[in-house]
Amino acid sequence: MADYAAVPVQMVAQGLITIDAAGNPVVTGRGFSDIARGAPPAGNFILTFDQGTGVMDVGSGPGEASGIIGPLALDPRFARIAMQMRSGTTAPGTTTLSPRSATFITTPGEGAAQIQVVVVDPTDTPTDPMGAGAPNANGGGLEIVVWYGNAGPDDAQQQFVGPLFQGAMQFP
Amino acid sequence: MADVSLTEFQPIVQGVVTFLPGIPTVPTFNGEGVSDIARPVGFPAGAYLLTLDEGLIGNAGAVPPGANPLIDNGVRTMVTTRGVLPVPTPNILTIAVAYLTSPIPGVGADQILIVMQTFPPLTLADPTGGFEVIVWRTL
Repeated sequence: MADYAAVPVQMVAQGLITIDAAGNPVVTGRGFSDIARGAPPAGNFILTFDQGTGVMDVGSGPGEASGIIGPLALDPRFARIAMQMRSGTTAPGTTTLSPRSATFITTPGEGAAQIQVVVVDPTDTPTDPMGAGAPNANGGGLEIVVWYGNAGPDDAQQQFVGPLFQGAMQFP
Repeated sequence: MADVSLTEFQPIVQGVVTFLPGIPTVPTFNGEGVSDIARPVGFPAGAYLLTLDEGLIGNAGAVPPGANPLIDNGVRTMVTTRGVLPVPTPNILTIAVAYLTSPIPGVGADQILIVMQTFPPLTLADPTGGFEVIVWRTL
């Protein structure tokens, strides 16, 4: 296909949050290593990225010859999150949940190794996206996608590959 | 840019759903990956049944077989409603998606159901300006 992406982004994680029969949250997909409930616990989930997510070389370049690899987590300035409810048990497949928010949990010097998402009902009450072990009237789970782009000023020296950029971005 | 991608991911559907005037209004899909759009029988508003294209893109067999709700099927959907000018105020509060498995063994999900409701009291409704949809498939 034609390369017309002016703002490159990459998907770093995608998951589906469900609730098992014991009432514990489960995340399946790629890029997440763990899920736990936040506080208060209902509809409140902390997801941990796989170890190594966002690994980049921060020790090379002018004045930085150490070649240190790190940090190990994402820079929240460049990360984007999308979420989507899955259908519940009420025909034709509605959900009672929609307002959702997410935040990055960061460690200074390391970046964001976790995200926290909260699902609430129309009365702003945190609510799980499905029942224990099965969909319920509220929904059938929650899809999450995390994207990552490097559009920040500190990436000005990055060389993009593609005919759109080659003319302007080729250096001796 | 740094290659931080952990997962291969590609869109199999992208499009905009708008409504032709009539009683009831008729949803139309403009984009790629969907061969048909219809309202589920008995639900004249707020619910849309999208049939994936046969073959690429929007491979009708791209969604692996499984029972609904499909767990870890590698499919993720993004839906954004559109409003109308002069102020595109949203009229939709909840959006749900389901992947409907074909009765043909081994085919997997060849249809996607999208359901929307208004602000409380939650009622099935069409978004005033239609909606955008992207469906992603991961390996």
